[in-house]
Amino acid sequence: MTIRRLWITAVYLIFTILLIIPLIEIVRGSWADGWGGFTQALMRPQSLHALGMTGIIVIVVTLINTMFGVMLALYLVRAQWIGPRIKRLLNSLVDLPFAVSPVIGGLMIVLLLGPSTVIGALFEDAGFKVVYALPGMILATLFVTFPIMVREVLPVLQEIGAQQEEAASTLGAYSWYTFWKVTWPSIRWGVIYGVVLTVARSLGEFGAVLVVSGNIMNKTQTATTLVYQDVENFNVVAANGVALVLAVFSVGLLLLMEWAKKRKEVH
Amino acid sequence: MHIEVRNLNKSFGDFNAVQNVSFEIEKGHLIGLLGPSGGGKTSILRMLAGLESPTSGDILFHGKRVNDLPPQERGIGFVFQNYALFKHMTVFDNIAFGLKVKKQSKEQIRQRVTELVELTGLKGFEHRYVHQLSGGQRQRVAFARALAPEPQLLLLDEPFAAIDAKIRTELRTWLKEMIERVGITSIFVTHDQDEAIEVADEIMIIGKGKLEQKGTPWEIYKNPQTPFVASFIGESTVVEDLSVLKGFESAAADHPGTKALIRPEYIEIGRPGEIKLASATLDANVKDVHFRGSEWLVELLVGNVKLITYRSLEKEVLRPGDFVNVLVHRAYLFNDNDSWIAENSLKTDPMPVHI
Repeated sequence: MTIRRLWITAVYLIFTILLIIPLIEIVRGSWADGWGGFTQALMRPQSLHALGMTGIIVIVVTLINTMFGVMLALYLVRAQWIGPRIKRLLNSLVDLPFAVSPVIGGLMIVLLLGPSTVIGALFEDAGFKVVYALPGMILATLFVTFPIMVREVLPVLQEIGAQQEEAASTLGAYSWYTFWKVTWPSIRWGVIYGVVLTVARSLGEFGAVLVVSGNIMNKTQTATTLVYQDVENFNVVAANGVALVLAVFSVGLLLLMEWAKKRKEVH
Repeated sequence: MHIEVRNLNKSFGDFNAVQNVSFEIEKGHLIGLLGPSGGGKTSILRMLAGLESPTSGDILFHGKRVNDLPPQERGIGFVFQNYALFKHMTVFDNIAFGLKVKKQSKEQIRQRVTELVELTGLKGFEHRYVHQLSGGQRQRVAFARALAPEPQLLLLDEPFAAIDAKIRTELRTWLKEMIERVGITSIFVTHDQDEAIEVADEIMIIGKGKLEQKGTPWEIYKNPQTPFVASFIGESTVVEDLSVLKGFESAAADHPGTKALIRPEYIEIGRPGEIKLASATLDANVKDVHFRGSEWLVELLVGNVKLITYRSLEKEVLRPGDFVNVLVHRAYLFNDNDSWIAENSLKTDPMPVHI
């Protein structure tokens, strides 16, 4: 009994030290100069720009990732024109971004599409900057978040099997109709769960974006890289202010995720 | 719908699931595809539905080749083994699915669904979800859903496999009646011979991807064309050494290597003196008796050959070790080249009394 109690205390202690105290510190830090200091930190042009960049990246990445993730999951589970060997290969490749450090992911993009490479120079000649610009940052975040949607939807598709879809086809329904009327209701909660995770991950992505963006203020700076720069500049109040905004979003997403998880279990 | 299949083949990698299957089905018939599990029955059904494409061969509906038609355009209804009902829809919406796809009017859909709900005895369940239904009800919904768009061919994959034994017999009769009433050409797959014999107008026996025989249940029972069919339909034991069986020695002598397949109902047993054709009987010992609900299953030992037969409960009860006379009325004889049914030659002996 005493050992069990000890364990429980230890868990609470770790939980407090790792999560609660830092959160309190962020809140306290951002209010160190009162309401004025907090709003001032957020109203700086670079803060507004950085939060805007983060917003754009989150929206674009989530949209692309959701579409491609669901599509790839469908192909990996259902497509008969992909051989089982290629499927297995693709299936393991999907997890690559989880295994590779985001910084390395970002570096790969710079090495492939940077201004000094062939492809990068080609894009630049066409007036389209990839690295050290928004497209590169979106690409980097896409790379990091890519497995999330596939991994959420794939097991659900495997579990429901192809029979309901086959039944729909014998009843005269073609693939688009079948997807929306038969497949979608079954995978819906998995997709929502995946969207929440993708948003959370792209909101907080730091390493890959830092490498690709070059962290240029008012140009390629996101909320997370701004926090990093503020800390470097000993502007603790501003760093805490931006961090608080990110933390509030994350907590909100977490609650949404819990709700989605419950619904997923029901259906 | 009139259906014709010519030289149908299907292989998955090196495995030949279906080999050179050809058959024809008359309009309005109810056909049972019978065979052991993994024999290719379901593959044939799925190819007819268009869910699987044949490696080679032709499928013709009404004389038109439909190989390249997708399932959506074949005008078929398919009842899946596990029903594959749409879980997030009510019974009504499940049945209405095929009609909504065809963009029928709300009123038309309501009428047709109501009609089917009444036909299948699901009245009052229209607004239930699938998980609120029993196995038998689910099957009825699957049946109604498949029939709703008025298909010309109904395909059923092991329609009774997921239902418990008692309701199964009830549903069999129900399904046969329904199909007769609707008058639709139907093919169902089963591994259960009782089911096939009871429900089907005609049976096709499928073994290892090949069509072994097609015919009415009675024809197949009476005149099995291959040893596989003979052993699959009904109960039987195979006797390797024919010389033990009195009355079949000549066949054994004429065709070396011939084996016999003997059904329980081919055998008559009795205490010494009970069987009139004493000259044709074999001596046997009762090895064991088992009570089978409405009769005794008797295991016999003739020399070292084991035979089984049934005995009425009305007759004197036999005990293991009892000595009995056995008359084998007929046997299904087969060797590598040929198979035929032989009657016991001693039964027609002109002078049995003298011996």
